Amino acid sequence: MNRMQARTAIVLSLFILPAQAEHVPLSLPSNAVILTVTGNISRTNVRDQAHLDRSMLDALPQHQIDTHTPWTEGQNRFQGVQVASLLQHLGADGQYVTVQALDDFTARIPLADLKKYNALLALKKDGKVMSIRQKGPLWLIFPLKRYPEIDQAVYHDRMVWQLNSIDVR
Amino acid sequence: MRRTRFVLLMLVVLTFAASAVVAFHRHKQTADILAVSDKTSAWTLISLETEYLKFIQALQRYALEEGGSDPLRQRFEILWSRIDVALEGKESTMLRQNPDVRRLVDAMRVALAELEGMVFALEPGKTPAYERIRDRLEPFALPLRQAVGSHFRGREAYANRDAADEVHQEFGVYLFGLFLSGMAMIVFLLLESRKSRRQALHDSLTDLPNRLHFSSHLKATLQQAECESSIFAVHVIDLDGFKEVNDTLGHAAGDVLLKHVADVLSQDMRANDLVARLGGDEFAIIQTGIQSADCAAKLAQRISESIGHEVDVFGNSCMVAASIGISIYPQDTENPTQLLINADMAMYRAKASRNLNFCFFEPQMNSAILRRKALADDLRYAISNDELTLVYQPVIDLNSNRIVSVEALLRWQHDLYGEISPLELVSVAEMYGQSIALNEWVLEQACAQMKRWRQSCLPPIQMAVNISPGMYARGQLVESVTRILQRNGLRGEDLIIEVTEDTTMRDIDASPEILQGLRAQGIELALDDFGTGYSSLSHLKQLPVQRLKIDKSFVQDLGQAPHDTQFIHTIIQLGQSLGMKIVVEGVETVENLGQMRSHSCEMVQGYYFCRPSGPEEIARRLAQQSPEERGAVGLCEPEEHCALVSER
Repeated sequence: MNRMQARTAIVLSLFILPAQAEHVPLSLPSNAVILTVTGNISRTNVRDQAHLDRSMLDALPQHQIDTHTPWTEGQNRFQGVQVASLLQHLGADGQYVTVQALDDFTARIPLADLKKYNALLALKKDGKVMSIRQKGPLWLIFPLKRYPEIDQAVYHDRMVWQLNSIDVR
Repeated sequence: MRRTRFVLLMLVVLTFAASAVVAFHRHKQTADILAVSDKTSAWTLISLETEYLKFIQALQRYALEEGGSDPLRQRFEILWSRIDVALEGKESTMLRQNPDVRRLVDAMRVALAELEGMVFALEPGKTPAYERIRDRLEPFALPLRQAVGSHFRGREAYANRDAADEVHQEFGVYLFGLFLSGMAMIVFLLLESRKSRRQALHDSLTDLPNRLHFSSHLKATLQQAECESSIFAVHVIDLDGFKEVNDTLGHAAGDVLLKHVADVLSQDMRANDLVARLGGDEFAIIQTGIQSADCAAKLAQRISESIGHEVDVFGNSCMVAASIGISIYPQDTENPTQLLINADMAMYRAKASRNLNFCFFEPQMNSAILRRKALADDLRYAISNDELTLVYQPVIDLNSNRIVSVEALLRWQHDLYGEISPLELVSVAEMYGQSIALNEWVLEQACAQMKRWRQSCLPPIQMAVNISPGMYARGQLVESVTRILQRNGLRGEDLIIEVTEDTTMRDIDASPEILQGLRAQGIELALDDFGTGYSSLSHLKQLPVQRLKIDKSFVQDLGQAPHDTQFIHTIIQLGQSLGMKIVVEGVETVENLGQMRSHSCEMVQGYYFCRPSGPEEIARRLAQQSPEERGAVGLCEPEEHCALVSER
């Protein structure tokens, strides 16, 4: 492939691939649902919601963040899906998300902040799946270590553990 | 005073530092206490209690067969996670530090660990296992509630809140201290700077504005006058007789006098006028709002009248007078510095005159000053380069008609100003501190000339040299003369030192001593210009002079009034009766000569015999009268003389 062709391919992919993804219906979860996404999303699988199990999340591009938190000792490696790319994957459109946990704790977060700091929906801590007891199965992680300016109460409140639903508005 | 100020300043600074440190410390404490009762620990406790209650509910529902085992397990897991949240991480550090809470959470963790197996194996319905779990967990309900409550109420919570309040109030007090000391510091600085500004602009003795203040005020006044097209006057006031008060009564008396003058000057001033002390006994006034120079003259007259009174200083009655110089803006100059210089020059004119209290500036004063300055600069050079010349005027003994001595007279041909009169030359030298150099140069040249004449085997005569007041007062006159005589191989008897009465009066106490010193070297002393100065007969008696030179004005006035003849006759007789030789100056005509002879005058000097002449002419004259038998001296006839000189 010469350079011209390569450039054409990239340009094409920018226009075509997301469009394709949006129109491919979301498959149904085959295992226990650990995340429910509601609100302004275009790809759904149960009514107007997107229900996802662990394998569906594992199938998405994985990223990692090494950081400390106010609720853990020392530094941990968190692995999982970037919230922004998950929402893009689901064709989400909005300004804010409201995340909720198993204990009904909620937090409202601007989508821009999630993108700006590449917030992670962690599936694993130090390489291991997190049980509910270990604040799993999903934990919203902001990279506090990389961005010391967000190591403060506002962002601590947004780092919701035992996360089970996201509502996009 | 300065010490007290320093101590005060240190106190202020220390208070400030202490207040700042304590305030910072207290503030930190407040923040800490507030943080403890903040959401972190409270939220953790509440969440723990909530999840505890939710698990109990789930358990009860399960026992009633209303819910499945999954919700029950999930609630158990969440409760577990809550226990962990309380036990690890930074956020719950404060909570763990409370021993009651710590004990409670630890006990719950033990209970949960015990019950874990049972919960996961639990069958629906009110089974014994259910009862055991419930009974095991139920006792935690009350302590949990109390722990949460104690975080918001209870002694500790109240104590914390009270402490927070107290710290807050204390913080206020310290902050006030900070504010107060800061304010005090500012006030202090302002006062200090105002004081130092005042010190910089005022004279500490009289509290009048100083020269700096005067200069800036003068500039401002000038700008204003420029805008308003108005005129104003600058007066410079110098005290006559102040030095004498200082010298005789001491500096403390001088200071009292200066304060008195400052008071007198200040009293007479209008609001816009400024009186300043420029330094020493020199004051200055800026007089504004005047219509003409007459107003300035009136003020000067008033000042001179109010200062010219006797003042009592430490029981001594002192008398000073003011010499005032006035310069008017804009007629004299539009430059502030020049205004002051002008007024200064005018003041010197007033001081020099004996009957003027004040004097206005006149343009020629300026050129006179410039001329004097230029002469002074050139004189230094002229002395060191022998650009001055000496001429000699013979003194004739009327009995023998022979030249017995010559008087050395100074001449200076200046490139720009032409012939400079000896009077001006001497006065410039006196004024610019060159009198010693000048006198020594004259002495040296005259003695060297004497030596040359001697070497030419001419008949011995005496050399008369005039000594100026500066040399007389300051120089080591006796030492200088002795040294110069020795260098030229002359004896004291070969030299006549001529001093004026005014010169000897300058240093009246030292005068006899200086003259005796010269006398001891065999030098003859002549009192020059006798009859014109401040002569007193007692003074004349004290001075060891051997010669009186009667001023030429007496001879020139002869014949104009009948008693002039008597006058000169009496003076001659007086001198002779005191054993002095008499020389009459200014004999210009044959009539003069005749009169002198009739008054039995011994020696004369004047144009009739010879004008002041160069050394060659004198040599010719001397040669003419030797050998001694050749006798009489004729009139000056240069052509003839030249011929004779060339014959030699």
